[in-house]
Amino acid sequence: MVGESRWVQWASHLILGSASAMVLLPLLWVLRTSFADKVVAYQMPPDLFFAPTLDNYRDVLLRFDFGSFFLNSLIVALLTTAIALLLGALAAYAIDRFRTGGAVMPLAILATQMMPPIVLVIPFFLIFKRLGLADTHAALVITYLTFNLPYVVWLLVSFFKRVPRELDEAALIDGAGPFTVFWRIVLPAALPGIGAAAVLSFVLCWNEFLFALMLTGQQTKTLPVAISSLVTQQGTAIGAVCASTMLAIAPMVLIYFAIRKLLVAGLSLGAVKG
Amino acid sequence: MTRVKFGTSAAVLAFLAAASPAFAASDVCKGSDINILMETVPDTEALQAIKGDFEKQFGAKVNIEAVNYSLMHEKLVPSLTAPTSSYDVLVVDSYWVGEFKTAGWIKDLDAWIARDKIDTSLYFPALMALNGTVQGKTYMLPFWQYAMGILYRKDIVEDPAFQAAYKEQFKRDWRIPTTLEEFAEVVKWSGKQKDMYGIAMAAQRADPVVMEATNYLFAEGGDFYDRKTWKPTMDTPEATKAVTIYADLINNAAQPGALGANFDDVANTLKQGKAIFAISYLFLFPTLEDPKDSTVVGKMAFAPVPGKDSFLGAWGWAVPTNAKNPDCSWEFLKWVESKDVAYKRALAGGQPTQMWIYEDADFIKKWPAMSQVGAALEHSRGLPIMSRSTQLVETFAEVMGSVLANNVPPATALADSQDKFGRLVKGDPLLK
Repeated sequence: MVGESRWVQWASHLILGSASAMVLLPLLWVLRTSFADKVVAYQMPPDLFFAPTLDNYRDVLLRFDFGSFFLNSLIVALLTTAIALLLGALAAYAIDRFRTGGAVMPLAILATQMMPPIVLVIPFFLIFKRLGLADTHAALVITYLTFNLPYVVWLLVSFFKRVPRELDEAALIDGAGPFTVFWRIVLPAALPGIGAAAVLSFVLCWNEFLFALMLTGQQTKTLPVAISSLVTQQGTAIGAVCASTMLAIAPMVLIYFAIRKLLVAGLSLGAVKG
Repeated sequence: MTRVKFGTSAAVLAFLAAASPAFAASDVCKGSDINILMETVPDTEALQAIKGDFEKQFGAKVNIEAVNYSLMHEKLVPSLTAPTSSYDVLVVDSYWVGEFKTAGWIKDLDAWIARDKIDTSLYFPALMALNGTVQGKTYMLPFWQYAMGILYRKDIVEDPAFQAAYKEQFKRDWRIPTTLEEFAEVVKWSGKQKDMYGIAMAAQRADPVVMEATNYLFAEGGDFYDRKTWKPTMDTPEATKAVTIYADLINNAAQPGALGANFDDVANTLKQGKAIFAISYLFLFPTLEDPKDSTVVGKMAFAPVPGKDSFLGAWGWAVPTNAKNPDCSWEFLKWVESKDVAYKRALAGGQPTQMWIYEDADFIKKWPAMSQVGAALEHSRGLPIMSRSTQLVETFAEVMGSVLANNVPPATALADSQDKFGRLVKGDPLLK
């Protein structure tokens, strides 16, 4: 039995290690290439040991106007996430606690996501152009809300379900109104869910490319669109692409480490004790 | 006294009338924005560096948005369909010309050209025919040319040992191949001789393989259509031979992964010193000659595609019909294609379209490979100017895909495609 257990452990580690390697190796390769000059970057067979250079990071930060594109992405992602959480939490609370819209409401919200996004690109473009919102952050925020809000609502409905209604009732008995119950009882109890929804919304906005391409211009260009312009007909500035990529994923990594305890705590949110 | 007064007034009025175009030019742009969507190429960088001159002279703000080529069409089309365009000046690729003209998205420039006496004879005739005039009217001023030809390692082919081996093999003195068949033989032999890839190729669907393979088609004297009757001609022996040779080189001489390679990969294969030949763009030379990027600096040369014609592509400056201020857009076109500005862009690594620049000693000294452009353009032609050029590229890419990836015999694939090519020209107003 002890031997079997060790064998199982080894096998588990091997499988998990291989899966991790499959995910991490491409990222590590990008990290490696971000420190390589152009000759080394394209060398075949590749040179694993070489003199690293910071030229790519220097080019990206100083010549490429990376700061503006980063700021655009950050503004759009943060605004969208904040509005999505506010509206999504209120909607989720109403749907879960008061059955607003009946049984069909959750499905109706999700039904909006059945359409391929590309169908909406030109209509959105023409509408925002007519409203004078083309090449503005507002256009992207409004667009991303239409995609993110349904997912945020669905996620928060499932987290609010786990918050015992008895807590609401206790607060109501003590004289709290519905909004106070929502704000002071349900929301804090569903904090892991809020964290998860925030991360989901932020990542969706941060990585979105199609609508960012069509709705932004030089002033409001976001990181995915900007990085794509490093791929040119005369060659891909692969070092700069890799350096930009590493800088672009840095916020995601920071967010993950900041809220991972919150996310893990949410997994153990239990049922009401009898 | 009255006669003097009248005479003075008339003189003042005449002076003002004569001076008014100059006043009108700066007035027409004052406070305007010129938004342009461009590809990330050296011409764009050169323009970014000098756009301040236009801004100072005309009181307008120039905003250049640079994106990857593959994203440009998607960004442009919604803008051109809107009541007012997001872009005030367009750069139009040669195979969008038919689509844009048929859709009524670009303005006829002839009235402005006549008014401002713009000399379009400065441009290579081949480029005016491709990215200038459509059905006798001028819609663009040529901006950027992408001539293609043989890029090859001159240090290898000029080596006496190589030439001696060549003579022993082919029983003649070394020469740049004069036919496509000879080119294929030399490429395959050279690769084995030097233990390198004989040729770097870009067979990725759709743009890379079509741009490259069209050289083979035109070199053999083939074409997509009879350009008088517009009957498809892809089932001819010339087309079959061209595609057969292309497939042979992909399978027997090209670098691994050529089926998924694009021009970037071709350039990198050459820059890494892995291949001897390529049929690709003259505009790759600046990157091939960049010591930060390339291990073959000073070792590359250019020669025209062997055979009848090579493929020619170009870009042109145009004014969208829904431009907010078309007169200012026209002023920008005039400025950017003025001799002074065109020359600055050329020195910065652009691909000029005005003939006189290629005779300038300083330009040729800085970019020696550009001395070959005249020869390349003399025997070159572009895709037909038709409303469905983009679909033409897709259809030919399909043919090449079935030959290269699915091993369909070239003659079969080409014969099967005749109907598709035929449908593309049906009812096209540009082909009457």
